[in-house]
Amino acid sequence: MTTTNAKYLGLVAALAVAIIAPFLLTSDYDREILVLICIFAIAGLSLDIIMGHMGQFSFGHAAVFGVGAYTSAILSLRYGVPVWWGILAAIAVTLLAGFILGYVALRRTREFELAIITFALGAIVLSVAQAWHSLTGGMTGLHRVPAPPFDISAGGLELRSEFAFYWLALAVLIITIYAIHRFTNSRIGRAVRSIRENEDLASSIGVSPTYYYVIAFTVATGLGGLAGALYGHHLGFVNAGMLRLNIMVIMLMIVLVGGSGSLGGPVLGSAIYWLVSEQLRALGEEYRFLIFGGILLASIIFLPRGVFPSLASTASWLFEGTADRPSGWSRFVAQRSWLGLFVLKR
Amino acid sequence: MPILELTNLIKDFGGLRALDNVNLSVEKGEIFGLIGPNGSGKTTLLNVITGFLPPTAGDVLYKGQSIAGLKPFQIAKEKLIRTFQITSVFTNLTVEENILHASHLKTNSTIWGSLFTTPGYRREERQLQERVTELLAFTGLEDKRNSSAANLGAGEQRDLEMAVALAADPEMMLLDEPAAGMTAEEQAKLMRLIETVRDRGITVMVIEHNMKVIMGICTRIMCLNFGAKIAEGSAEEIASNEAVISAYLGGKRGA
Amino acid sequence: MDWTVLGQQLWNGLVNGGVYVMLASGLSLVFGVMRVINMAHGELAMLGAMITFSLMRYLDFPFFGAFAVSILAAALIGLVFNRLAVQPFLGTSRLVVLLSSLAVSFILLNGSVSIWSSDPKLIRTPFNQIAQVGGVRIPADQIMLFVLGSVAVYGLYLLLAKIKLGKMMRATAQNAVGAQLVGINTKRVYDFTLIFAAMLAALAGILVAPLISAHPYMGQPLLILGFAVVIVAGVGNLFGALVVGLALGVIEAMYGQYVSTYYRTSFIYAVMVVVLLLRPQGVFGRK
Repeated sequence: MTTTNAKYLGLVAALAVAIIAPFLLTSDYDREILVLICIFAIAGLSLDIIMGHMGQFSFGHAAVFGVGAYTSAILSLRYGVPVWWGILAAIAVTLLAGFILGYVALRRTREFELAIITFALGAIVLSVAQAWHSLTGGMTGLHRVPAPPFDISAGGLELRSEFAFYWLALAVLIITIYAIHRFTNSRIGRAVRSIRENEDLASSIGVSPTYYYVIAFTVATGLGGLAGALYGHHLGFVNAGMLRLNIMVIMLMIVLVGGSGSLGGPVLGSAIYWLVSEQLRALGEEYRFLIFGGILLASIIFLPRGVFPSLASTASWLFEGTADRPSGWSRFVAQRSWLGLFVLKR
Repeated sequence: MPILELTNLIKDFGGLRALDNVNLSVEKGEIFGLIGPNGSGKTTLLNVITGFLPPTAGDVLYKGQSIAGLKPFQIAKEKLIRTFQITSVFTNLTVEENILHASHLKTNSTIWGSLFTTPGYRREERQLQERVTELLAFTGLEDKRNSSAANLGAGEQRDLEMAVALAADPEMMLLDEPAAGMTAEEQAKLMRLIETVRDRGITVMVIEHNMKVIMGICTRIMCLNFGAKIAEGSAEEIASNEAVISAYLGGKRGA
Repeated sequence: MDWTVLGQQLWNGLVNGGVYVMLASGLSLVFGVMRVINMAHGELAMLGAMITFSLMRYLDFPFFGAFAVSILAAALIGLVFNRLAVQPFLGTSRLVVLLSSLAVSFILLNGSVSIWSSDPKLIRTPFNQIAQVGGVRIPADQIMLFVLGSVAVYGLYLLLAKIKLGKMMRATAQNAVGAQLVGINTKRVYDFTLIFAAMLAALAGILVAPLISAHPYMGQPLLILGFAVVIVAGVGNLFGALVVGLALGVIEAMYGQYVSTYYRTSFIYAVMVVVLLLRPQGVFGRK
């Protein structure tokens, strides 16, 4: 069996398992974890557009996530807007915010500028969310956010909302993965990558760094807003905790531990995060986050490309057995001195 | 009408005048050489022409239109393509990917095309692949197609840089010291390459120190010193020009 | 116009500003010499305060004893932090150090919460007197803050300007490779940079703790505020940082008093963003 066939088979099998997964699990609680894995995989993929594709860093992604959650929640809870429209509105709002911020902040694609600006803006958004009672519910947030209506009853089989929400999230995740895959191999995706690789060279062959970076950034924030909106409707409440640095670190963990610059990385990272988080449920919040911080640091130090690329290269080594593979040690060294964080793989 | 024309071009950096009233015109189809000692302003001139630096005064006319003050990517869109003094390629991509990424100006598939892999998109992808093959053959990099650009030798990286510049479909190319550090064999190959490029209808301006290369291929040559033109003419005229000789051999060097 | 209120806020603003200047010095030092942003700076300040608290509360240390030990502990922490999370990554993308220091800050924050729990702790200084100047309350420990802070910042200036180590730091800041070529041990320079930065941070944390009470989350706003000073003032200008720090402290206090108390820190963040966009080299910077 060739590698390509093996890959396709593996993908189809994974997809099949993913679709029937809720039936395989026994408790609603476990099914909820599946939903969370999907939602945070989407969030991780959106952050990876900024980190992996653009090679930049935005601290504001937690804020984008939170704004998406809040927008949809406020519209559906306070103004009776149907949930689906609320989600679309959340996407629109975050797209607009991302576009404005990108247009303003990405003129010179210096490394730290975006990071600092988004850090400050994220803090400001958090402040606003905590203080603006009448709109956001202040410190307590908004409760009883409606879930999307799933009235599907196919021949007497009534689908419970946990199942339905999971398939919704899974569908969005699959579409997202496909879209990013196509984006990577498109003219726009190549333009963005060329800017990340060598901005001056990209300019000299006709790529406008500002234009393409703004596009990529806008897409990333819109996607983050979508993930946030789904999160809010799934949980049934939103609060300022969704905007905080904790979420940012979680998303970072998902991207870096899973593997930046690959499609499977954030998905794997999200799965790893939620499964680990469940195991550590018994510990208090601080201990869990302490461990997550440790995992993040350890990942940066020891496994800079993340788990997924390492697995992928192990898999291809198993199936292809390329003759000119460098030795394990030299690979390890190469991985550590050149931090493959911002290298985009297919 | 000359394809590139500089009129009274001045570039100041604070109190330092790097380009002093430079007048230059390049005819279509020429290979034009720009020489001068280190620090005479050659690369500054290139940077001003291609939009990486704004001129202080004067004008840059490309195909009759002023391009002064435009951004680099806009100038590239006009098919005026440059290379860099320090060999610049997309280091972390493969050779094939380098050329694919550099073909930006030659492609125009939309996001819809790529999202739904329309026939138009697929046709363009096939054409891109053919183009890659052609450019690799042209620069002699066929068997390096899937190698990472970082793993290429210095000469091969230079070839790749050339392929990348050609991928952007230039009408005119500005080469910044393409022969630096090359062996005699590589120089000869470079000279043939540039002449073939010219034969395809692309105008070339070469900045170089290497006299053998300059004298070998350029129809006209201009010499700069201290940011000002000190001589212009054919290879023989330049070689015997007193001002040029003293600029290179004796007298005070430029800053 | 209530002059007393104005005067009080002016004094409060100056005191806060003094803290911001101290924080900015540490941040600026690391950024200047190593060209990286230390996201854990606020947590280093917080640790200074928490260690002082613990020594006083559990081991019955007097204030100044605890103070001294905390500063030394901070120096050690700074060294370890550099070796573990900063130095190994200096050769690669600088954004990586941003991330690794963020991870460390997260570890320190949550570690502190689990050790000390998140309720605020009171630190009593030996100075209880409160001076009254025309109706404005000026507590003695705030004066001490000023004095100690000024000594520290001036000490930093002296170090950089006159002492050999400081000159080595400046050389490395200008050109790390060049510095190595002339025989400067840049690794040692980096060690000391982070040691001094940690000590400055801890100092700021200890001095501000009696004012706002110490708790594990206190580091986060301190980081951003220190940042704000560095950005607005521009890197590499100690005097500029001094002016801007005090000014921002006063502006924040005035905004909080006369406009809105909820958003006073947000206002400073907004000022920082605006400066970053319009004049990225800062008010006093050169580019």
